Amino acid sequence: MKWPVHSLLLLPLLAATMLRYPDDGNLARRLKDRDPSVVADLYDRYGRIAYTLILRIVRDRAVAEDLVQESFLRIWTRSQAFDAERGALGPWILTVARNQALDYIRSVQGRVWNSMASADSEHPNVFRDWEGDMLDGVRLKQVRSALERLNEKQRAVIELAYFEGLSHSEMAERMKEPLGSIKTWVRTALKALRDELTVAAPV
Amino acid sequence: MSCETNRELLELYALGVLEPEERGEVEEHLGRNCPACTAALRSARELNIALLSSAPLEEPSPLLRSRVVNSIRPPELATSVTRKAPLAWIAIAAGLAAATVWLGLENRTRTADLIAARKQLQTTEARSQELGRALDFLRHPETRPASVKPGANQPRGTYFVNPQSGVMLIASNLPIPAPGRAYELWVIPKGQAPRPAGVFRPDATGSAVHLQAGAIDLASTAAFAITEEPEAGSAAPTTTPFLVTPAEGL
Repeated sequence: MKWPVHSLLLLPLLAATMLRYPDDGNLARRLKDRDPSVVADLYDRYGRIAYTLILRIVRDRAVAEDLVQESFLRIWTRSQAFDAERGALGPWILTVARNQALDYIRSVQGRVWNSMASADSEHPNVFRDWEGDMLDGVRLKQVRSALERLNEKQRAVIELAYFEGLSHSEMAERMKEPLGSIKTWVRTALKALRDELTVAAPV
Repeated sequence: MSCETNRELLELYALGVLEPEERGEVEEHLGRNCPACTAALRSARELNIALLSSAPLEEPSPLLRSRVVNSIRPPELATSVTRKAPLAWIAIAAGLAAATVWLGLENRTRTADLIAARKQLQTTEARSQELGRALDFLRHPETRPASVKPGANQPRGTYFVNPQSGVMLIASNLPIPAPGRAYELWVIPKGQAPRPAGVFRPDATGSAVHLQAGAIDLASTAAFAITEEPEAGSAAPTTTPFLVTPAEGL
């Protein structure tokens, strides 16, 4: 299939530098086969990264540990839908972990949380055909420095979208800023991140 | 929506933070299966995962690993519960879970309730004596729920389902039914009429723990709900169901 030239600029190149653990396929197969011993291995590989993300969202270590437990239980109960040959475990686990954490803070804050969109996005099929899994060390540094180069407002809106799950209008309310400014900051921040972290594919 | 505009929203779409209207537009656009936008969605998801995983790693308690591993073994738990005195164990678990709900009710989420209740269930066997004392405490006429605020009187409840053993509802803030009336639990199979699953009355504070023993086929179950009915129960609901909870995901 021939794509328009401009679309090549958006081809995912992050994937090429993402790290795939050599035996993730083995873990995925055991998960799919409902082998309970896989959970310890999954935890050893992804427990800390899930905990780190959840802790960043809920900011309470005890709650974060409860939610890690919930996340792995959810992974386990949904594992039959996972395509062992083609799925990427790390991104899936992180997405489930983020949803668990956002669900928690939303309800603690007494706010309605329509998790339809995100519940859908944690379906294992979303992570089919990923080239890589989690970032390697070099790429991690690039991501961190790209975030550092954003201005204060841009960083704030990215933080609110990724780690608090806020929509544009919720950000406007939280930051007491006009909706138009919020949208601009989000758009320019994402563009800067895309430009730095996603490069043109060879034609 | 143009491809260009669509792509600007894909990270937010994948994060689940778009307003419903924008989400609808993005979904509509993606439904056209334009290859460039499909590739851009993948790219957006990768960017999201990269940003979400970019923080320096934190270290959880070393005990978390065994908690996670042990939480994945429900068949063993179910077996040991059945082998011993099932009702006694279930009653103890129910009592403790109810204590969790009563004592920590304010602003707790369903997720948080489940987490707390599950932790309690896991330690049930080892702590039976302690639990017995907790039950005595709960049964004592002077024990009162401390956290229910007057005015905060929306009914709420959590269902616990065990495919081998049955379904349990822990509810609070239920209106007290008139004399001769009670609540009836319904198991609603997919595409069929609701099946009655026992009648119960809340206590004077509006709290109730209701256990309906018996195997439940989750795959064919759509939802659980309760209605107000005559004390003897009805064969089919006669009032508006509430505390309706889908069985999906249980």
